[in-house]
Amino acid sequence: MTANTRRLFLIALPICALLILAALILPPLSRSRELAKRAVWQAERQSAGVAPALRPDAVLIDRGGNMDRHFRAGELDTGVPVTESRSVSKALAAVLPKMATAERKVVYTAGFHMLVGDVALAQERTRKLADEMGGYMQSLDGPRLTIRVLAEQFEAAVERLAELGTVVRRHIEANDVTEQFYDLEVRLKNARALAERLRALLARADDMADALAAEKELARVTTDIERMEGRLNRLRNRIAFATITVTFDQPGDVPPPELTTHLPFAWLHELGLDTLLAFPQSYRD
Amino acid sequence: MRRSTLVLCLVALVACPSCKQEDRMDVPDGFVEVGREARGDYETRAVSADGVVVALRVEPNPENGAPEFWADAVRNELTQARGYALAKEEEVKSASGLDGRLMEFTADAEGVKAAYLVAVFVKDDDVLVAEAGGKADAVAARRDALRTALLSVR
Repeated sequence: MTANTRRLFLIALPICALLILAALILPPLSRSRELAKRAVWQAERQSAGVAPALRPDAVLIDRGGNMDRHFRAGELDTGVPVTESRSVSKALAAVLPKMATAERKVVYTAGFHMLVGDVALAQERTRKLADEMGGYMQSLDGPRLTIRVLAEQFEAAVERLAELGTVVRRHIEANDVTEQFYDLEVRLKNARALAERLRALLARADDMADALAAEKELARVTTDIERMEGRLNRLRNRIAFATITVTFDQPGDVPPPELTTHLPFAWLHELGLDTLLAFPQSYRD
Repeated sequence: MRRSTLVLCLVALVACPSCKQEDRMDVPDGFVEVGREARGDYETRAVSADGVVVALRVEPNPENGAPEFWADAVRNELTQARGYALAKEEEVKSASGLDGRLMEFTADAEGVKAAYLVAVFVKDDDVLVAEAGGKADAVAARRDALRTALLSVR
């Protein structure tokens, strides 16, 4: 074994040991944090007298109007289905403030199918409502209108929309993206730190090969940073602005009862040509 | 100095979870990628002069759902809740080797026939949803290029 190989071995050995140690320690710590987070959340729920409690990663679904009205979670702490007869406003009032105070990141989505006398007038009122709620119209596809409103105005917007006509169907979702949000923030922070280290290495590089290697890696990390910033900004936008989709029909065209389960993944409901082909109003102007 | 620099870079690469290559797709010739503001919730979004749009959505896969689950969910959402008709469906492999499904839908947008292509893949903790759509004749004219773009996801 040459002196150089020994030196490299002496450098690599403690680094490997540290990495193995980190791999052993971090997963249990992460699990403990998750359990602690859940315990704190559960305690908050119980102290507020809200029960049964939805898990933080559960989804609140309400079907209203003439259809069945209940709350259904993807999974409940009790492990059994729950049926609630409370009104939408009371249920939202009970759940939404708790979500906000726990610093959780939640994406709110709602969908309405309504019967109105004048579809065009109802759409115009919905657009105005979006403006008043600090939001904007996202897309219009025939009778289907999608608006974005400030998340803190979500409850009020849902209540006011329900007054525009007869609600045939309604679903409301609160999708917890806390873990995804903070994970992305940490990854971004780490990538920025790595970029700083690479810049320092580049400044100190004393030959061309080192400089080129550091520069290449820096370019790759910078691209990653830009993409993560983009994803984080998009996630912030989804958190800041609730998405409400309203389909208006005229009386006489009452659709049959809906038997489709709305899967608790908001992005699924954003698929389709109306979203794909529509660019933001501000961009078009 | 040179060796220690190399070691430091290797350690940084191993220790930093953000160092994995981000997902992306190739945009077909004749398309222009739009800026961040117009990208909306898409990671990549590009448009042709005649209004065909191709885009990539990267969504979380919190419970490690299989590609089949997400492809079925997308198909059901579009056909059962949104009025799209499934024209074709095939199991595919992306250029980078990811297993997935490519689906082609048709829709009637106020009397105008429209086409919508969706490819669904799963990579690590992400669901990759590549979409392309527009008026049916415009999509048909560049179908192969769009298909290649949707399968270029990595």
